[in-house]
Amino acid sequence: MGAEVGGVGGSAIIGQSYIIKPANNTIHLAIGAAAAMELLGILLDCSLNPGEDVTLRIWDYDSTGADPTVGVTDAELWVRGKRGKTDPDNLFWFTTGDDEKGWVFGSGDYRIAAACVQQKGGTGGATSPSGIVVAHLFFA
Amino acid sequence: MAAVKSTSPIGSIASLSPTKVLDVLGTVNVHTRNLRNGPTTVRSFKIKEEGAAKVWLKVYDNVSTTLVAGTTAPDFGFPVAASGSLLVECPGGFFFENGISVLGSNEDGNAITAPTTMNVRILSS
Repeated sequence: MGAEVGGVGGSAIIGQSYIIKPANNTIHLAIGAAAAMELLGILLDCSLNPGEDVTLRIWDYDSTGADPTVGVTDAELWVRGKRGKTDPDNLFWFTTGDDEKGWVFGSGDYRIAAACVQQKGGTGGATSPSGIVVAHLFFA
Repeated sequence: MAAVKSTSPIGSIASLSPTKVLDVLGTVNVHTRNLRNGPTTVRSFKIKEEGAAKVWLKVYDNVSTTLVAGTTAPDFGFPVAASGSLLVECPGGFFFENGISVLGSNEDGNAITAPTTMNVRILSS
């Protein structure tokens, strides 16, 4: 994992990691071109968010169409993060198929977006976590 | 209702919590409530889609009486490519406070439509 940079309100691609700090209901668009990226893992650092469990939603979307909207657009993949927990409790690794790849999103010019909310599920709800959540997305 | 193949513990070290294997075979288009009816820690999900459609496994940390397919928001949504598989590993174990239920769907988000044939294996302790 790369070192964090950017501080609160910033985000950066460091090597193959994309760090969102803080992760909240502000959607991060165009994290990368989905066709060229495999999602290997997700870590939700909720150590500074003791109030409630949270959900990180990830979308793949066509750059020629509308951007996804938090609370409206169905997410492609989502995971839950436990309140007050971080690595390894809120760590997930993804492997697909027999060729040991990470999760591969849509083809073509699809892009990846992410946001973090209090509500469960991949669709409704757009309330930001009450504390600071840091989301680490690991790509190959 | 999809068939639950086994819930048998494996492992032989008595001092450790035995790993339990829970297989859900066949079309998971009716939610399988309470694969674990109570608190449990999940180590991994292995999902195999035998059919030609992309599917999603929706996983719920729920009390059975409050789960309504297509309405209750799942805690997790994992996409699986057509004829593909997905392994989700939880190195520290993910704690389900109430229990585990699963449901397969051909749709993303919270919506539910019947998938083709999906097989699921969950390792828990």
